[in-house]
Formats: sequence, C-alpha cells, structure tokens
Amino acid sequence: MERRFWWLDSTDWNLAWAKLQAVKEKQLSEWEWMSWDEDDFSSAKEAEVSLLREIGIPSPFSDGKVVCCQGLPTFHKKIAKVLKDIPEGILLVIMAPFSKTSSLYLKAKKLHSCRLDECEDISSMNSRVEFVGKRAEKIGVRLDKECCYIVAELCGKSHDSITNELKKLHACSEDGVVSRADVMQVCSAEGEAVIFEFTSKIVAGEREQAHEWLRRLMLTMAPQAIVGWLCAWARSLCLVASCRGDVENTVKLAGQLLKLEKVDDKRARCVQMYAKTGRFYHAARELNMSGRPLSWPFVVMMECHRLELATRWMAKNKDGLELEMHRAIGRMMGTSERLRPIPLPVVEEEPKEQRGSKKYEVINAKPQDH
Amino acid sequence: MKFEIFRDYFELGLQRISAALDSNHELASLVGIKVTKDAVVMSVQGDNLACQVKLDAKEDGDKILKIKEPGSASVPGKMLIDAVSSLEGKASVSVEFEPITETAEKAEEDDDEKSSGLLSIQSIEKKPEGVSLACVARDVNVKIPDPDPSLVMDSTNFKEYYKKVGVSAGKANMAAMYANVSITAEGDSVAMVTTNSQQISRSEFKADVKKKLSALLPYEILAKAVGMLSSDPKDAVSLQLSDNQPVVAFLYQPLSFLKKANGEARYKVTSISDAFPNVERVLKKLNFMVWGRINRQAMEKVMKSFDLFDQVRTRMELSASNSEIGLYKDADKGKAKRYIPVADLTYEEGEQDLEMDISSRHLSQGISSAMGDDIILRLSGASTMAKLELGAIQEDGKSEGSLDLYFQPFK
Repeated sequence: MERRFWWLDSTDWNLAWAKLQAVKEKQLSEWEWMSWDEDDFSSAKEAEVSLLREIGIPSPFSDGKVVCCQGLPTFHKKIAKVLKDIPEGILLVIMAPFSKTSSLYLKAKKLHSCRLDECEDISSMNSRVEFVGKRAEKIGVRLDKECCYIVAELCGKSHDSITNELKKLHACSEDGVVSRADVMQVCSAEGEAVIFEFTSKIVAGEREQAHEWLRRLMLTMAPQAIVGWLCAWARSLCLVASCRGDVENTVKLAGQLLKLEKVDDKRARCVQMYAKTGRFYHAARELNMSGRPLSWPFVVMMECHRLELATRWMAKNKDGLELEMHRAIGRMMGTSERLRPIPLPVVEEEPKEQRGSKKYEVINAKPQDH
Repeated sequence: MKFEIFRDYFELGLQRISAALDSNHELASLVGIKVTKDAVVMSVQGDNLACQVKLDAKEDGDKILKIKEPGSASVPGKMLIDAVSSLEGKASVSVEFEPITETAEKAEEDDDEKSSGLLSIQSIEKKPEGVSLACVARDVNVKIPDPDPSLVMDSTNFKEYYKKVGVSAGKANMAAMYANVSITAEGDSVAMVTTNSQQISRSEFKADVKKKLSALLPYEILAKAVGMLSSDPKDAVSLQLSDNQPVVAFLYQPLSFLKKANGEARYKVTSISDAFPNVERVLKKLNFMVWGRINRQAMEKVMKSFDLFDQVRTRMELSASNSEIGLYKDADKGKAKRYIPVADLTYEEGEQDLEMDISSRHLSQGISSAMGDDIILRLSGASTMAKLELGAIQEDGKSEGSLDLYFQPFK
C-alpha cells in the first residue's frame, strides 16, 4: 500500500470510523493494528518518542502496521518533519478535526503518499438538511423533507448527533418509514444522543470504542451527568430484562411502577409517552441483539450504583472519577480493567512514620512522658 | 475468633497478600481471616489476582502462633496493614473478634455470618495498647486447590528472569495488564517470552519440570504475585495451571519465619486475553551471520554520556576492519559518536560493514537488564532483527540461564 499517512476528519466520527473499519476489514486485514493516544503518556516528550518509534519500526510479525492516533498530537510539527520518511509498510492514521493552518495539514497536502478525508460542511441550514437526507438514506430511514428539517433543527450542527438520532429512529421504526410525530418523540438533545451511542458500545462489548466514547463525553459533560444518564439507561435495561425482553410488557410495567411511586398523572403520561417510542424499544433491541443473559442488566445496575456513590465520594477529583468510570464500564463489559490506562492522579504520599498514629484510635493509651 | 501471634510474623503474612488489595478501592478491599484449630488463613480476592497465606500454629518455645478460638472475620485490608505496622516494636499481639450486638433480641435475629463487630489487635506485653477495626464475621471466599505442580523452580532465578524479561512486555502506552508472557516448560528448562512488536525478550533457565507446560499469562498481574514471593533461594516456587479456559495459574511458596514457624503463600492469577504473536516462527527465521563480544560497562558508559533514554533512535555501525562498534547519539551522522571495541568478531561469510538504526530506549533498557560483564551481539543484516545475549556468561563459556533481547531496527 502506497499510502503512509491518512488524516480522517473526525468531525463526523461515525463516518470516519466506518471508513477506518472498511480499510481494516477489506484492505489491511493482515496488518498489525494498534491505537495510540497522547493522553496515555505522562509527558509530551515521552509521547513524542513513542509515536516516532512506532512509525519508524516495522512489525516483525506481519507485513505492515497501522498506527491509529486519536486526536491531533501536540507535537504535530515534528510529525510534519518526518512525514516523508514514514517507511513503506507503515500507515499513520490521525482521527482528529482538521486544522487547516497546521504545518502537518499543509505538508500532507503536498505529498502523494498522504490522504486527507474531510467531512461535509453542515454549518448552514440547507447543507444540514441535505446531509440529514443523505445520511438517512444510508442508514435506511425514509424521511420526507419536513422531517429532515426537524431533525436538522433539533440535533444542531453535530454530525455525530444527527447520525445517532437517525440510528435511533431506525431502531424505533418497523419498516424504516418515520413520521413527523415519531421524529418529535424520539429525537432528543445532543448530549443524550451521544450517550445513546456510548451505551450501545457497552452493550456490544466494543471495549476500545466504549472507552473512547467515555473519554469524549468527559470532555464536554460533567461526570455526574454521565452517571445520571447511565443510571437511567441501566434502569430501562433492568425493566426490559424483568419482562424478558418484551417491550409491550415493559411499558405496562413502567406504568405500574409509576403508579406505585405515586408520580402525578401529568408526569406519568410524559414518561409513558417517552417510554413507548424510544427508550424501551431501544433497550430491548440492544439487549436481544447482544446475546447477553437477562441477568446482565442487573450487573450494570450494581455498577451504576457504585458509580453514583463514587461521584459523591470523589466529587472534586475528576481524574479519579474518570478512572472509576472506565473501570466500571470495563466490568460491565466483562473485563476488570480498561484497555488503555489514563494517567493516575498524583497523590502526595503521607510520610511513613506518621501512618497509623493519626488514623486509628489507641485504646487506653498511656499519656506520653514529656 | 481469637489468636495470639508474633507481630512480625503477622506482618510478614500480610505483606505476602498485600499486592492483591485494590489500591483504588481501599475501603472495599477486604482481607479475610479464617482461624481453624491449627492454622490462621488470610485471603484477599483482587480483580484477577487472589492471594492466600496460611500460617501454621506453633506453640513450642516462643509461642509464635497460638490459637485460642476458631472463627472468621473480614477487615478492610489497607487499614489492617496500617494498624499492624502502627504496633511496631511490640513482640506479640492478640487478635480477637468481638461481635457488636445492641440488644439480646437483635443478637438472636442476626445471622452469625452477617454479624458485624470489632477486630481488636492488642499488644500482649503492654495490654492496654492496641487498635480496633470494624469488621464482619465472614471469610473472603478464595479457593485455591492444594498443590499438584507442573514445575518447581528456584525462587531467586524465577524472580530475576521474570523481571528482566518484562522489558518487552507491552507497549509504553498500553496497560501491561493486557500484555501476555508466554511460559513454556519442557525437559528441564523453562522459557519465558514477552514482546511489544518492536522487540522480543526471551529468558531460559533450569527448573524441575514435572509436567509439560505451555501458557499465556498476563504479565503485569503475575508480576504482582511474583513480587510478593520470597527471594530466599531455599524457598522454591511451584507453578500449576488449570485445565479450563480462561487459564488460571497458581503459584505456591512455603513461608518460613526465623526458622521457627511454617506456613504457605498461594497466588491465583486469571488470564485476560490469549493474544500473542507467533514469536517462535519469527525467531526461527533469523539467521545470524556476524557475532562479537562487547564489554557491558563500556557500553553503559557510552549510553550514559549520550543520555539515550530520551532519544528516538541511535545509529550503530559495525566496522569489520577495526573490530569496533560506532554509536551515534542519533541517526544524524553529524552528531557525537563513540567507539566500543568488539572482541572475537566473527563473520560466517565475507566481512562487511553494517549500519542500522535502533531504538535508543530499547537499547538502554536492554543493556541495563544485562547480567554479566560481557554482551554478545549477533547480526544478520541491517534490516533484520539484531540479537543481544545478556545472560551472565561464566568462565567456561556457558551460562546458567540466558536472557536474549531481539531488536527490530528502524526501516
């Protein structure tokens, strides 16, 4: 393969990921694939040495190597310098939004061995409506122009949230035909859409992607908010599991539970409306397709409760909380650890001689002689 | 539950299981203490590592461990270790579980297994001094079968070679948790291999192999267990594997205390993944045509002057006419260069100069893992893997164990 450098515009992350997977499955399935992330290193220098080594040393075990880099490294100027020296048999992939003034972009544009895949600009309303139409066709959802407009209006300028909402519509519709009412009931705000994608990865057991989504979510949302969404998701999964995956019964059960909880009628109706259209259908579909046992949602629920407690203990320690969340979703997916570690928060250790004396009460200790 | 024990012996037992405590869940990570008629068994169940230490009761002379009342309790592990270490200077301690029951009625209602209480650890010599910890009357459920080992080996060798072979375990940015070490045992030797797709480490040493063995085990988790083993060469280590999937490895080691008390430490490691490249196939293909001997200290001196650890690549030139190796600080030839003489330089075919770029980090880590005075360098060409033999070589030219490092050069 002649290409040595490939920059995928991750503004449309779903499309970029699909392209990467297509290459992985069809063209370079025999090559060694490895992911690389600058956040995993303790210093920028360490990260730089590591990446330059990765793109310089070929794999002894396979014909070639693909180094997938999440995000644009801070030392991208150094990469620009060695871009033309990347040897044959090594492909450096960068998944990051385009930075058109960067030297890496400008250099890559000049070289034949480099490819730049830019995603569609949807800043204007017309282009967004057009994008919704095209993406809906790709996913298999039949939308009329009015619905396209509503989706574009609701989901904002994010490629990812539009795609995720369309996937949700597809999951809810029986034959792909979606009405205006369906769009109004199913489509929701951007944060929720991203959570929808994140939980799908957890159910599917796609470890790497689930951790990646969590990392992206942590950049924009408060950990407490993510935990809140996860808890709501776990509750709907548990309800579906209690009804053995039957959505109609789940909705009935949800209604009964609401009555038991003495929620006022207005709120109950709202929740039921919501439940009917999206939430439980999606949870049931996820659970049934994943092949996981019906006991699994309860494991998820326990992990969510642990996370809820952790958010209270570690409210100010965002790094520690993120690590906890990675560990929790790792356990949900059936592994005890996350695939790649994030740097642990630095904790100043207490001097050894002071240990014990402060923390534990000494029973009937004799007064010290002075 | 009540027993009296030498504080140092108690601390030694706790040290042997401490690595399995989850540092991220200090409060939730429990040590289970089970007291039977003739032993105290302490257990910790970690994520992929479980540890168990059995301390045999012995009352002769020094009363190292005297059991007064059988029972069981689970205590927050980190707190227990801190509490025992805070009693430093005390010879013996009495450990007792005291249940807390508010009323007689509630005591009847409470299930024995669920009842909570205090674990008091008191100095026997100075009775009032001691520490109390909240606990529950329940043992941590760790089941490790009795030993039926596949191989028995020298503890010191195993620890040393295991640590050194780890230089290639996992990529710098990946959790070594997911990096496997391949352990094979056949005849009378054990081979351990790790790789990070840029270099391969292989170590081989003698062992008493009782059953043929071949397994992939998580390097980092097994390293935790190996780190807790005693370094005393008399305390041999036994390794045993389960037949089921995922593979579970068990390590056993006798525990002795001042030649006066006996016990046993047991570790259970569960494998996480079975991903490992076909290293043997790659190594078989290598055909080294050039070899020579380099002084380790001379090499270390050069590396220190170059500060190679933070460099990306180092250029290495083998000069046939001068029998020496030239090392450039980096791949740019204009930069500093040092020469190191190569003894017994031998060419299987025609003499030729060779030049290759190797990772500075890998070279410096490899040389620091070397065990003897000399390092043997083997090369076949500029683009194929270079081999460094780092094992200690004795006067008769043979080595007790071997430690080989294979580098993939830059292209």
